[in-house]
Amino acid sequence: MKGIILAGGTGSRLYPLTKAVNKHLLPVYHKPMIFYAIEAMAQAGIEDILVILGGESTGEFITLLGSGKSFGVNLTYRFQDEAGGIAHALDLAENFANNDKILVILGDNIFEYNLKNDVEVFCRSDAKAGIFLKKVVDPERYGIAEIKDDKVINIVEKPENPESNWAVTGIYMYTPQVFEVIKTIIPSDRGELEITDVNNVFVKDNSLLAFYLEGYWIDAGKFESLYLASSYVRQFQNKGGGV
Amino acid sequence: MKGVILAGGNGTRLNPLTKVTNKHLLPVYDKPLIYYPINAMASAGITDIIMILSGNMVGDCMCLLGSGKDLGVNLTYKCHDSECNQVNQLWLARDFVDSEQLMVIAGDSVIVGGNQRSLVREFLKSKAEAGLFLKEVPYPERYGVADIKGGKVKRIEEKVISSGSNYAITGIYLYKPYVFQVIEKFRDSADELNFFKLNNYYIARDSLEAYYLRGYWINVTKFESLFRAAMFVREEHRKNDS
Repeated sequence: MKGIILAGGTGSRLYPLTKAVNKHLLPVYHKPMIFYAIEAMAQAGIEDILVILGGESTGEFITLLGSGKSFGVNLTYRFQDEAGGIAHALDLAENFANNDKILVILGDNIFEYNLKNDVEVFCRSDAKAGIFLKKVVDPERYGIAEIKDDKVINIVEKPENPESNWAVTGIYMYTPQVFEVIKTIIPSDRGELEITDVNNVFVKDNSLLAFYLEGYWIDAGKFESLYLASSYVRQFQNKGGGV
Repeated sequence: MKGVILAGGNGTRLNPLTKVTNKHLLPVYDKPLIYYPINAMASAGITDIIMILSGNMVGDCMCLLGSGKDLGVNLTYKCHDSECNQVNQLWLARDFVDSEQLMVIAGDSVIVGGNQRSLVREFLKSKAEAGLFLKEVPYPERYGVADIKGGKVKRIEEKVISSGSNYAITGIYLYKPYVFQVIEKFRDSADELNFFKLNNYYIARDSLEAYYLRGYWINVTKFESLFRAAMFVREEHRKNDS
């Protein structure tokens, strides 16, 4: 299995913090944001990782992360020239994935859960896609999975009348078929290739597995969520968790 | 009156956050650290400010702040080439300050919810040659502290276990332009000059005025102080929103 970290985007919701600093280099308590996704991959036993960059000061990324040796991983980089949605960014990973299964993590997702067991379950299964769900109190802000008899039957992006509280987090697993699926979907109203549309293809195909995250999870895309991410990591540190 | 912000250093105690990011660009909740001392100066009525920069990615500081227009100030920059102490950083501001009075703030000072304007005015009108901003703190042993009598600083101490004073030295100073002559005099001597020695010079002349800083104050030096600064700014926003 290979890892893909999506760390593009301009971070405009974090302006002016992101005026001179790349969003994924901002601190989450004591480490730059991007460290967490890399460490989560390493913890899951994934060593070959592609980091997809975009936005400002990407050169500093490479200075910071280098070959990946200090994390015990092997890093490759690609650059996303234009923002076009998560699925569009993921499409840049096709050659790198080279017929392996992949674990995808969005670079601003900060979480406590160890993915290792679920990664192994997915690798052994016949499923073509896996998503990680987390219960949230404000479902209208997320992609929400509608669940029936333990199966995901639909995913709706930011629903006005949510069918559940299960948010689809920015952690996904796919077989190489995902790249064929990406080529079939059409841009959404906001002009992006949506990962939700990709996942719904697998839902309809009855080949998507849902996993459930335990512990804290947050996407650190705004001032308040960036602060909360720091505060979770700090608490976890203080109780001896030691990320 | 002119402002001097001492924003040098590599921020090594915040590594790996500062490996490719200048310490002063790290976020304190919704704004980069360096916005806070600038805003504190602006709210005190000081808009002509020089930034003394050094360390990694100094160029990014300029990219972020530009002319200062967005913050309502007028920024000039100087850069020192090597790591040097704060008084040597201040020395770089001598031509900029010229014959005006000046306020000096360390670039890692987060000050929120207080305005020093009337204190600065008091200093401008006074005969005092220098002013020291103090803040009462619960753990004075973490800071340099000052003994005060009759509004004047009588004694300052660097970090000590117990001195009896709860007033921390904040790293925010006011000087008359004469300070550069004092620094020059010391520069000729062999001893390295720091703010402790500089302020002791004024204490010996009984001319160091004590001012009590208004609002919340913290120096961002480590992960925990960076987090606490953010926590406080967030609380301040919530207070103002409700």
